[in-house]
Amino acid sequence: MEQVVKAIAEHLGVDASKVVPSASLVDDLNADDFDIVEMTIAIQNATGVKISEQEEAEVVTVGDFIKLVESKSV
Amino acid sequence: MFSSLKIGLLIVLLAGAGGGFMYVKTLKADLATSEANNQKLEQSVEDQKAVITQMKADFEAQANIKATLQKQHDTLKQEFANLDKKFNKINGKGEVRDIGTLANERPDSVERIINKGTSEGNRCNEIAMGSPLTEKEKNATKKSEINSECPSIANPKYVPY
Repeated sequence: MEQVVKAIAEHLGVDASKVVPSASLVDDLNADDFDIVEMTIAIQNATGVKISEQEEAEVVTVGDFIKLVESKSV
Repeated sequence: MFSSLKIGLLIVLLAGAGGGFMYVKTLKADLATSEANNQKLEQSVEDQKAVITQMKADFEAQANIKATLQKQHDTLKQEFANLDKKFNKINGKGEVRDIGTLANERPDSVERIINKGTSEGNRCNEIAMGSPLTEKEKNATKKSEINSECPSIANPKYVPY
């Protein structure tokens, strides 16, 4: 989870305290569609977890990224 | 001789009366002409006042239109800058977005985003040509709900963060 939060905070240039599971990437953290693609790549690189483009298309919140990574890390 | 004098005096009196009559008649005619001219002048003044009032109203309307156009221009300029930023955005680590690299790595994702942008752009054209806004467009307040290509015309309730 920390790696995901760090990757998102670094990419968007926001304080990590704002990167909470319930935060909407677009509405709360002001990301755009390309940011989500870039963050997916950053999270893959940070965690080693592969996220498909279909899975990425359904990501809305920080929690969605965390769930994806956690479900594939186990 | 006395009667000749009377006749002469009578002629002089009649001539005086006739001259006086003609003078008064001419005066009356001049007065009527002056009154007519005066009325025309007053009407002209009223017309000019109306023209000035209309000009003031037109000037105010033009000033309002100019202000509205300026506001629209500023908004569109900002939206254009936002669109430009979308393709050249610098992330929190100072890296400039590279759409080509992204398209190589995640082609389906980039295609989906481009298609969404194209669809939204087409909708912007429809709205600009008079298509009424849908309820969803009217009520959109969140960034995830708006038409990101032209929120100023598509989403009146949206206030950019």
